[in-house]
Amino acid sequence: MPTGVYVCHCGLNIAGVLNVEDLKSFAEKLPGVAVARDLQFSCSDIGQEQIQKDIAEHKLDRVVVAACSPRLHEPTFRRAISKAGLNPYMLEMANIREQCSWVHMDQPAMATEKAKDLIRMAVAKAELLQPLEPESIPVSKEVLVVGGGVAGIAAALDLADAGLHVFLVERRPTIGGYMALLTDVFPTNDCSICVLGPKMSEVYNHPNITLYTYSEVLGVEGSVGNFTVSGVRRARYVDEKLCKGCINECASACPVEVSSEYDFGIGKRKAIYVPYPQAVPLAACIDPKACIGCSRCAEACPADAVRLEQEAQDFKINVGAIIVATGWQPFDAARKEEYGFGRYRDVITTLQMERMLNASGPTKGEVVRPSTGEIAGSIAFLQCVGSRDATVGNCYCSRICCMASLKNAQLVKEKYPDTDITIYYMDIRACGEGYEEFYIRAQKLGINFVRSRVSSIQEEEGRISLIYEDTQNGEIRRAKHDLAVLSVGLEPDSNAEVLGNLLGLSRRPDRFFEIAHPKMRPVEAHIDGVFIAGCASGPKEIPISIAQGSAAAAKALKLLHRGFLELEPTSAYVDPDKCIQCKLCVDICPKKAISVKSPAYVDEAACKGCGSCAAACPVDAIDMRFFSDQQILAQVKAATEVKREFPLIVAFLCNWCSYGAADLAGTSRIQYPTNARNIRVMCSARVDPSFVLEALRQGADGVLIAGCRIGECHYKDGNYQALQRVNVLKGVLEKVGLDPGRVKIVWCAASEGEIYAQDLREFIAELKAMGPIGTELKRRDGGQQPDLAQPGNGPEEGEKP
Amino acid sequence: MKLAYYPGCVSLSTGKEMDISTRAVCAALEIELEELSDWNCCGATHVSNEQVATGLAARNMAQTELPIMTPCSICYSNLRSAVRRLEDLEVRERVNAVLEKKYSGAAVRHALDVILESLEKKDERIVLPLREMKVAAYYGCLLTRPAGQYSPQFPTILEELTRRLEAEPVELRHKTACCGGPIFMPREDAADDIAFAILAEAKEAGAEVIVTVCPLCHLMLDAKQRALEQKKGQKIGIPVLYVTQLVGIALGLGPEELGLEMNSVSPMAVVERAYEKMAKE
Amino acid sequence: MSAVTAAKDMEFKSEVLRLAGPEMQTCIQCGTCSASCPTAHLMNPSIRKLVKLCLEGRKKEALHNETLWLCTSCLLCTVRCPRGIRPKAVVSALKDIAEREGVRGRDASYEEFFLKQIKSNGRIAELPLTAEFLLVYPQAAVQSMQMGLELISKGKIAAKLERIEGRDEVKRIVEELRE
Ligand SMILES: Cc1cc2nc3c(=O)[nH]c(=O)nc-3n(C[C@H](O)[C@H](O)[C@H](O)COP(=O)(O)OP(=O)(O)OC[C@H]3O[C@@H](n4cnc5c(N)ncnc54)[C@H](O)[C@@H]3O)c2cc1C
Ligand code: SF4
Ligand code: SF4
Ligand code: SF4
Repeated sequence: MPTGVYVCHCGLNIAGVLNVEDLKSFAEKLPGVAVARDLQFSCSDIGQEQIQKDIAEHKLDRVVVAACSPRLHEPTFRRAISKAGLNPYMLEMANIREQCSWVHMDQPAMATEKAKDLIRMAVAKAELLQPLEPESIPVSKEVLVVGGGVAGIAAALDLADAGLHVFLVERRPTIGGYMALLTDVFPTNDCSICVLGPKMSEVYNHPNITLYTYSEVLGVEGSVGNFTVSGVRRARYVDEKLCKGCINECASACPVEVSSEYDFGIGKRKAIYVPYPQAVPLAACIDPKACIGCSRCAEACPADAVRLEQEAQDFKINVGAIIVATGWQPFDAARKEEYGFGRYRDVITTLQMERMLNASGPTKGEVVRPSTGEIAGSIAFLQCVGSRDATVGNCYCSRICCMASLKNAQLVKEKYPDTDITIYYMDIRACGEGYEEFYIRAQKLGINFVRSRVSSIQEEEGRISLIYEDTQNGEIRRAKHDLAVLSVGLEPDSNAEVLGNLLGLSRRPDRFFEIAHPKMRPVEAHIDGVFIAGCASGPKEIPISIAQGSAAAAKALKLLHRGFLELEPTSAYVDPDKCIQCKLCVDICPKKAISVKSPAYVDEAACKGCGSCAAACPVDAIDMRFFSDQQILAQVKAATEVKREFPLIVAFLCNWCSYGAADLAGTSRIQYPTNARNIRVMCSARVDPSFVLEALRQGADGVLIAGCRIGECHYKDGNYQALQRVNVLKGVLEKVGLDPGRVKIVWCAASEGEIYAQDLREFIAELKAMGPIGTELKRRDGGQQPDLAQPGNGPEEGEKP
Repeated sequence: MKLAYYPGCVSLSTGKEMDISTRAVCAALEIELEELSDWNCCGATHVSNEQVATGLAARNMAQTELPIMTPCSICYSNLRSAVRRLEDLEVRERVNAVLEKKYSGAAVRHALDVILESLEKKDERIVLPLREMKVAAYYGCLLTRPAGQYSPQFPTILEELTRRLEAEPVELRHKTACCGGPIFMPREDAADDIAFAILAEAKEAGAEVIVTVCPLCHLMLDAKQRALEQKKGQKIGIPVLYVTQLVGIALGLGPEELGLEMNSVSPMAVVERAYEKMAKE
Repeated sequence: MSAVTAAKDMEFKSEVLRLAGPEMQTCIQCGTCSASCPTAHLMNPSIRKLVKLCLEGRKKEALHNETLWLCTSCLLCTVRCPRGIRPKAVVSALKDIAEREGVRGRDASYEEFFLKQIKSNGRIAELPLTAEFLLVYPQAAVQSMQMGLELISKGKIAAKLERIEGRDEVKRIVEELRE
C-alpha cells in the first residue's frame, strides 16, 4: 500500500515555525510510505502536479497531505488525486497549520514534535482508507404538500409553475385554511377571500396539481428523494365532479341543522353543506355525524350528485419531498374560566368577530350581541388570551393577535363610528412593515387603549363587566361593555400530530414543529427532504406564511429538479451477523435513518454520517464507511505511540463547531500549549467509549471531547448523547480507580476559538494536578497499570446510554 | 373505608359542629376514621415561612400510613401545598432532619370529596331528600387553591353534591371569592365588607341555605352574620351549614348529632320545611 | 442613594427571590394580581407594585406598609398570574423578613403570637391568642367581645390551652426550619 506524504511549507505559515525538512524525513521512515516530499504550496498547480506525478510514478494508492485544515482544502486535494486516477476518498490530511504552526508559534521544537504525531496519525489512518463511491440515486420529481392553507397553497403553486408535480392533501372539504374565513386583512385591510380566492381556484385548475381534499396522510415510508406516502380520501357522499355547488336545493331539503365549524359556533349549517360560498372545490359534502340518512337531499339534487353509498378511498403516492403546512388552531377560550367564554353569550372570540364582520358570514357583516341580536354599542377587546400565559402552558406571544384586534377595531369603527371601543393590552406588538402606522391609525380613529390584563369578566345587569387594573395610573376598575372579544392565541393544529409522528418531526417546547436551525434554516425540518412552512412552525401572519411556502418550494425544487441526488458515501452500515436487534440505534438516530427489520438496516440516503449509532451499538454491529472504528483506533494508537510530553491529550473534535473553533484559534493566532492530538469526527456523539478507554490504556493522560454548544448540534442532539456517554465513562474510570476527571467534555461554537483554547488550557492544568496516568493507582495500591482491558471492552452493555 | 382524621384546631373551638357532624356523617356512611395521634396546628394562614409551614404539615402527615381526611379547607390547602413542596427531595431532607417520624409521602383528601365518593346517585341512605331546597354553594378560597383536583376558580363539586341530595344549587358569582376571614382580627372593616358581599349575593339569589367547607368561612358568614346585619342595616337571615351538616340532614341524622344548635343562624326552620315537604309527598 | 445602601437593598431583593421563587423576576406588571385581589382597594402599594418594589430592592417601602397585612391568602393572584409568579408568596416572604427583623406593629404581633402559641403548645386556642393580641391592640376589643359573646353562647370557645405531646418537636420545626 504505497502512500505518498506531502508536507507543505505554506510559504512561511508552516515552515516559519515547524522544521519541515525534519518532518519530511520523519515521514519517509513511516511504514508504508513510498515517497515523502516537502512542497512550497501544495495547493498550487505546481504542488498538485507533483502529487499527480508521484501517483503515476510510484504507483501510490493513497495520499497524506500535511498542510492546512481539511475544512479548507480537502476538496482541492480530492479533486487533484482523482484526476490522477485515485479514488478521491483515498486522501487524508494532517492539520499542521491551523492546529499546529499557527497556535504554537513560540514553541517551534515542541510544535514540530506534535506535527510528527499528527502525520503519524494521518498515515496510520490512510493505511485503512477504502475507496468509496458517492452514490447517486434517482429521485421522484413529485412533491407532497400537506395542508391547504395559504402557506400550502403558495408552496403548491410555485412548485407546479416550476414544472414539478404536486399532490396537495387537505383534511377539510375545502382548501384555504383560516385565511379564507377572515374578513379584511391587515396591514392593508383588503378583503381576504378576494385575494385568496383566485389562488384557490388556480390550485384547483392547475395541470400540475393533484388536489385531495377531505383527505389525510396515514403512512410515510422511505427517505429523501423517495418517500412512499399512503392515505385516505374520506367519502363526501357527493360526486365532486357532478355537484354544481348550488347548495340551495339539497340543503333546503335537509332537515338537520347543526352549528357550523366555519363560523365558530355563531352560524348554522345543514348536514349537507358547502363550508362557505368560495370553497374549493365548490362541491357539497355530507357530515356523516349529523346525517340521519333520510336521503331527501338525494331526491332534491337536480344534478343527481348525491352518493350516499360512497366509500372512502385509499391512495398511495411516491414523492421526493414533503412540505408540511398544517397551520394552527385557535386556543380554546373556555379554558380561561375567569373570562366566562361559554358561560356568557356576549363573550366571544376574535374568530367569531372575524366571521361577523365578514359580509358573507353568519350575520352578513353586522356586529351584534349574540344575547340580543342588537348592534353592539360598546366593545372590549382582550389581548393575550391563551398566549403569554403560564397558567395555560402557552408562554409564547401569538404575534398576530394585536394586529388582528387593531384591525377588527378599525373595521368596526369605520362601519359604526359611534361605537365605543377599548383594547385591553399588556403590550401592543405591531412589528412589521407598516404595522406601527396601523396602530397609530387605530389610535387616531378614537379607539381607546388601556394597559392592563383583565383579571376576570362577570355579567352584571345584562352587560359584560371587566375587572382590571389600569396599570398606567394604578386604578382598579370595573368597565361595562356590550360585547367582549377575546383575542385568542394560536396553537399548533392538533390534527397534525399523526403526521408529525409519521415523519419523525420534533417539536419545540411551545409544541410547534421545530425547524432545523432557528436562524439559518427557517423552512427545513431535521429530516432531509421534509420542509415546514407557515404557522405549522409557529404563529405568523399571512405574508410570512406565503414567503415560507415559497421558500419551502424553492428548497424542494433545488433538491429534486435534477432528478437524482448525490449521496456522500459517509454513511453508517450494519454488520447483519452481529446485530442483536436491540433497536437502540433506531431511537438514537437523529435522521430516523435506521429501521430494524431483522437485522437493523440503514437507509443511506437519509443517513448523514454522524456516527452516533456506531457509538451506541452495544455489540459494535454498526460502523461508518468514513471515520470507521478501525481508522479512529489507529489514530489513537499513533497519537500515543511516542509520549514526548506531559500531559498528553487525545482530543476528539466534532467537524462542525469544535473543529471549526480549533481552526479559528489558528486563524486568529491564539496561542496555547502543544499537548493535544486532535482527531476529527463528524459529531461528538461518534465518540465510542471504547476510543476513550483505548487512549487512556495506551498512555494518554487525558481525553477531551468537544462538541457544538448544547442545543446547537448539527444533527439535533448528538452532544447530549456524548454528554451522557461521558457521564457513564466517568463512572467506569472511577470503578477502575482512575480519576474521572481524565475525560472531559466541552462545548464551543465555531466562532469560539478563544473558548476552545481556554478549555484546553484548563484541562492541561487539571491533568497536571492529577499527575501522569496511573498516578492515582500507584498511590492506591503501589502501582499497577489501569485495568482497562482490550480495546472494545468498554462499559458493560447495560451501562451504555 | 378507613381514613386518618385530621380535625384541625378549630374543631376544638369555633368549629365544633364541623367536627361533630363530620364524625357523625362518616359513621353513617361507614367511613372509619382514626384520629391522627398527637396532631399539631397546620399554621393556618399565619405562618409566613413556607419551610416552617411545610414542617408543621409534614409532622402531621408522618403520623399515619392511611390517606388523611380533613373537613377544614385551610388545613387541606396547607397539607396539599406541603405535599407538593415535599416532592422536592432537598426540602424533604431538611424537613425530615427535624422530624421524629419521617415523612415519606401522603394522600390528602377533603371530607367533601370523601363523602361525595361514598354517596351513590339515588342513595338509599338519603332518607330526607332536600327537594327544592335552594342551596348556595360557597367554596371560599382554599378548597380549590393552589390548583389541584378542582378548578381553582369555577369548581362544581359542591353543586354536584347538592344535587345528589336532591336540593337545588344556587350559583354564586362569589363562590370562590375570599370571605375575609384571615384578616378579620386586625382588619375588621375590610373583612366585613368582603363577607357581607357574599351574604348579600346569596340573599339576592334567593338562597335558603349557604353551604361551606371551611370553618373560617363559616365563622364569617354565620357567627358574624348578626353583627354584619346590624352594621350594614340589612337583614340576611340565611343559615350557613357545613357541608357535613347538610349531608347529615339528608341522611336523617338528628340536630344534636350534627351540632345544629351550635349554628348562630338557626337552620331548624329550613330543616322543618324539608320534613314537612317530605310528609306531604 | 449611596453605593452602600444599594448593595444592601440588592441583598434584600435576593432574599425575597429566594423565599418567593426566582420566577418573580419575570413580572410584567400586568396587574392581573392586583385586579384579582379582594382587598386591592385598600392596599397601597398594590400587590403588583409590591412585587416591583422588591425587584427594585426598595426594602423599606416593601416592608413598611399596610399591604402585607391586608392579604387574605386567598391565592387568586397566584392562580391567575400569567408568569406563574406567586404574589401571595411574596407577601409571605416579606412578612417573614419583617418578623425576623423585628418590624413591629399590631399586625406583626398577631402573627407572632400565633407562632408563639404553636411553638409552645403545638395547637392554637382562640381565647388566649385573642387576649394576648388585645393587650397590644385594644381597639379590636369591641368586635372581639361581640364575636366572643356569640361564640361563648354557643359553647364554641376553647378557653383552655391545648397542649400536645410532641411540643419539643414542633418547637424544633418552628425554630430550625426557619432559616
Ligand atoms: C383572528 C385572526 C385574524 C387574523 N388576521 C390576519 C390578518 O388580518 N392578516 C394576516 O396577515 N394574518 C392574519 N391572521 C393570521 C393568519 O390566519 C395566518 O397567518 C394564516 O392562516 C397562516 O396560514 P397557514 O397556511 O400557515 O395555516 P392555516 O390557515 O391553519 O392552514 C393550514 C391548513 O392545513 C390543514 N391541515 C392541518 N392538519 C392537516 C393534516 N394533518 N392533514 C391535512 N391537512 C391538514 C388545515 O385544515 C388547514 O386548512 C389572523 C389570525 C387570526 C387568529
Ligand atoms: S400578539 Fe399581542 S395579543 Fe397576541 S400574544 Fe402577542 S402581545 Fe398578546
Ligand atoms: S400578575 Fe404576575 S406578572 Fe402580572 S403584575 Fe402580578 S405578579 Fe406581575
Ligand atoms: S393572596 Fe393576598 S395578595 Fe393575592 S389576591 Fe389574595 S389577598 Fe390579594
